[in-house]
Amino acid sequence: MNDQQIAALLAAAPQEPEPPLPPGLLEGLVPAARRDVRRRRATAALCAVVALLLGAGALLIPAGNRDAVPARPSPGKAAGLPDLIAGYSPLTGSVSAAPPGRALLLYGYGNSEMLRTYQTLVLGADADVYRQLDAVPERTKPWLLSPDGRTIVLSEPDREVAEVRVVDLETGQTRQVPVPRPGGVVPLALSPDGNILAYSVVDLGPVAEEAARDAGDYVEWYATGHGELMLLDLRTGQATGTGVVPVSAAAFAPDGQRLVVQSELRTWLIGLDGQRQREVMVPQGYGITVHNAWSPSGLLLAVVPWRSEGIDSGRVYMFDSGTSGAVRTVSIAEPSALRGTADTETFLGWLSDTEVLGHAWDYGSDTGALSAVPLDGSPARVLSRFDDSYRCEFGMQRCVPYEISVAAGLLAGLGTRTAESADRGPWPVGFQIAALATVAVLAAVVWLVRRRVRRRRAGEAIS
Amino acid sequence: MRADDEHAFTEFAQARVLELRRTAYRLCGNWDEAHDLTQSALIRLYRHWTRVAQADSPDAYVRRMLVNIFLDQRQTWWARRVRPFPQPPDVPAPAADVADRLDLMAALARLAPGQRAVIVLRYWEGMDVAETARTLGCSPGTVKSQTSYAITALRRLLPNYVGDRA
Repeated sequence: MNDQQIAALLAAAPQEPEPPLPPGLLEGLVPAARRDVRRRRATAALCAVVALLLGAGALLIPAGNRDAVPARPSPGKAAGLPDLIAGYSPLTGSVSAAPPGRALLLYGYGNSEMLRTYQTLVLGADADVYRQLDAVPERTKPWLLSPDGRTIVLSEPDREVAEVRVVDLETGQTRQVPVPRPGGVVPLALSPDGNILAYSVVDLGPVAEEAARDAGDYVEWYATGHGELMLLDLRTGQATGTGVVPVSAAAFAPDGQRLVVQSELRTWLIGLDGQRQREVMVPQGYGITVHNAWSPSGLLLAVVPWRSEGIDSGRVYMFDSGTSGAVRTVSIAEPSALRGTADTETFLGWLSDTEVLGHAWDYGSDTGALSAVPLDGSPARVLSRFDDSYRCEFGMQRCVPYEISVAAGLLAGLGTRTAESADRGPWPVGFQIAALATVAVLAAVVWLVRRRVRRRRAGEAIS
Repeated sequence: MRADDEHAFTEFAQARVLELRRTAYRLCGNWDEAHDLTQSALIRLYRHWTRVAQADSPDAYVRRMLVNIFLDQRQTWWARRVRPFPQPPDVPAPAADVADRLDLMAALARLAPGQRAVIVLRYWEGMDVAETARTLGCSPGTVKSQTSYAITALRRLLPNYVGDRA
């Protein structure tokens, strides 16, 4: 059988009588075609909407139940601390993109044993809200979270500045407040309403090169021996000099009308007018804690061992970490007698006149923990632990917190709640772009594969 | 679609529907399925009519649509498992005219869909290799090879026709 034979065979094949067209085939053709067009358009529109929703969902689902505007807690509502502080995630959104509202903690988080993994985070006071503080994404300190948790004051650790930056956690906006004398600026304390900043300013001229070379907090270190205490009204920009030189720590009284200040190895009470009121005669070798030393009742001060280092003009003052690290208390009325003892590595603030909040390594869980530490010397009660999984340095290391700053005014009545799904806000812009690019590439790949499969199937059908 | 385009489409469909249905029948061997194939091809043509109407040969487009729909349907799970007609015997017995037609259709039904399409287009629709290749969306070489395979299969399925009636 060859071409001619098969052609002849088919041509000679008797024809079957053709049946009539089914009724309505032609008449119904155009309406059916119109319906088909409409159905396809509707399907395409539906697919587009679903794709958009999926795309938007992929970007926004990590935001959890994020609101566009942070919810304002009811007045007087106590802040809460999750029993587990969420682990490191590069997908955590920024303060400026999604303001978290009032915050309880400000801390650096990461690890740098082999690869630098770091982010500056704030933890919300009323929910498990985490945001990256994009105003200082790559470094710790000098920073200060206001007692009401609504603002953060930022400076630079290694160079002179002419202003401090104030981040509003309810709007996500950052504003600059000029300081009258440029220099190395170290924020020391904020008044309970967050409006008055006590800071140390130091002329870095003689040590500018050394400061630039130093990898640590050179300004903060140098200012303990040379900085002058200033009071700055963050609303008006009006500054008040105090003449207190040097200054290494400060804390506002609960009523915000005066401060306790550490100058060299002596402790002073200072008024808002910048005048020294009197010296607080704490036991020799002790000085107030770097932050939040004044108890909420106004009756007690937290003190820790202090020491000096260097000679003559190079002398600086610091917390004496070599001495056994118990935090002690003294009363304002009778400051020469040490009273309570709280055994913690780092003092963060006062929970009450009988308990402080401390940060220490929890050796049982092998992770950092925030604990309520009684001042009668009894064992601490763990309130919250940091995530202990290996998330830093591409899963090779645990992440550890650095330089925790707490909203001291929210600690009274602080509750602990069961940690819920972390609200990390929208992905950072870089990840959003990467996600969109990935979705686009995947869509293109799917389209190419489908086209290839169709062609292959068509080829298989022929062959 | 504009009214004048729709009018042109309707005229085209009315003029070609029988011819298309005949081609569809030759492809599938079943009048009911041929009606469905024809309607599907014309509906698909309606979607693209504005562009197709400007082409030199709308017939080639609609025929290609028809063949593609036929091949697509043969690829579906349903079409692979459900046959609208009984399996033909391996060796059809020679008989009268009606039996001859049934034998021929049964033999065509035994071919793979692509081979059947090649045979129908080339020897029943009178297309040359290039036209068949364009209609099927494959290369002329593929058309030639598939034609060869199809003829070999028909020779096996219709042994009594060899050198006899053909």
